[in-house]
Amino acid sequence: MTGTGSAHAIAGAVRRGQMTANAVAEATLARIRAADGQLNCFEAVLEDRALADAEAVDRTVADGVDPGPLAGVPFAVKSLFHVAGVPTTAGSLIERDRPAPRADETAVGRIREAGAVLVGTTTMDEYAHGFTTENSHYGTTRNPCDPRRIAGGSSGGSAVAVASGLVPLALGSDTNGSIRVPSSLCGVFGLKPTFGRVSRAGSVLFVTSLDHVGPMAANVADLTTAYDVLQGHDPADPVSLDVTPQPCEPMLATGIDGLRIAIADGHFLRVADADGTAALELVADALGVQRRVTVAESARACAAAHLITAAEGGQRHATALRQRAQDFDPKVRVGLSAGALLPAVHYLAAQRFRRWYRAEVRRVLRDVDVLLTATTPCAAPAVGQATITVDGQEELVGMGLGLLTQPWSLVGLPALSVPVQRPGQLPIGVQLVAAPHSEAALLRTAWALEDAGVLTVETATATAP
Amino acid sequence: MPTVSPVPEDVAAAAAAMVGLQLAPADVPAIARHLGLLLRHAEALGKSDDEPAPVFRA
Repeated sequence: MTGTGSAHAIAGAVRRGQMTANAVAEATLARIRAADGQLNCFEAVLEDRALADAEAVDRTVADGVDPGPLAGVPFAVKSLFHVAGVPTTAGSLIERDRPAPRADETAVGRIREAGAVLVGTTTMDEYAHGFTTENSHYGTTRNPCDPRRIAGGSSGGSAVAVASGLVPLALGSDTNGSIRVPSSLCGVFGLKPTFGRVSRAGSVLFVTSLDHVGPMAANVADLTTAYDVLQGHDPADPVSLDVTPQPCEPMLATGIDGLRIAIADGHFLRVADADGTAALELVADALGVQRRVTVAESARACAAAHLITAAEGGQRHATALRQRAQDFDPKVRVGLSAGALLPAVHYLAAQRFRRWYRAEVRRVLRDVDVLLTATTPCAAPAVGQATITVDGQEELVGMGLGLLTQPWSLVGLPALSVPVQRPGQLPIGVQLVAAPHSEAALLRTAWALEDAGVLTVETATATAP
Repeated sequence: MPTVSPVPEDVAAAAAAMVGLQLAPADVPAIARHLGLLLRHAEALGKSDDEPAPVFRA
């Protein structure tokens, strides 16, 4: 990676006193200043705060105290996380007008307590409603692999900040795929943990029953350390699970020993195009996986996720739609308004199906530890492109890009997108899925693939389109 | 664009009024179309009568 290196390299050097957190922060801020004019991945760059935090880390080291496993590591967060003293915009004008929060979101606080240095907030689709990070208020975020292409969304700014080597670590949120989709399109690692495993307290939620918080990084070790820091019960989040943290980092080196891995067929093979299928086959071959399993009714799972998203999202923003409709991004206003009009009978039918699908997925996962699918139906579409072709049908980009990630969000399973780089072509992700609380199986599999040289992150800096 | 039957615009406007939304006239066609897309998803989901009802626990 360009710049100062991986999170592990930075933290190691800072903890040993071989590098100061201040120097890392200064270099990071200089990179952001040089590149973000073209990428538009940062919404706010927090220079003063970053330098103050870095100096605090350096003082801790000077006092002979270990600042933590992410000592001096610069990181960025999607602009829907509360950051003390910084307006939480969630990519909107409406939220920008609210008073700035007094405290950090729980996840932001946990990363900082591990010694990391927050350098800024990143761009997103307004209220996390979308998969493109084309935002009428804050502009379009460009894919560093090809600036004529979208970054994906809704955590597009976080994915680009990592993919372009501006920061080694970023936080995103994932409702229907908003960590995994931009990770796939930009070529980085993105983890959506088990529902309730990482606190959402202090973030602007989109769909209460589907929202997850998770990390994005340029290698498996960094991703794992971030997840280990993030996981754990938080009484401030009503859906937070009161389970004992299970550190994954010590388990990485066991690789895929003992893991039962299979390709999810049916819907998941039909939806992926030739690029997605080739990436999936590359990963499956590297793992020696030929077995295929079927998770029944997964197309219906996408339909259910669309309906639940529309209804809960529409209800959540109904008051603002009544009071400040013209201040929404026009396409988000249309989507949320339509959701607010959806008859309850369809929402409840989707919830009934959700319970059935949860049981079906758990039945399959009694016999499989890790499922493989492509992460997105295709590589990054062009900026401004309205539709993609999926299984012979035209779909809106904002709906089609999530067809491989939505089913797993619907039932709260952990899912990890790993980047497959193809010379001369755009990257595309492969998705690893496991049973609840089995993040370690995903990270071990990704580590084995990375160790075998199958997965790499090639950071890129965009040039003007 | 995806094949979709928009909800009639007067129906969308009436539904909006029921939940207290005053739609801008210029938005009505797009919202009617988006609602049509959602109803297509509802059709794809199909009946869930035999599937378990959401559970409330005291």
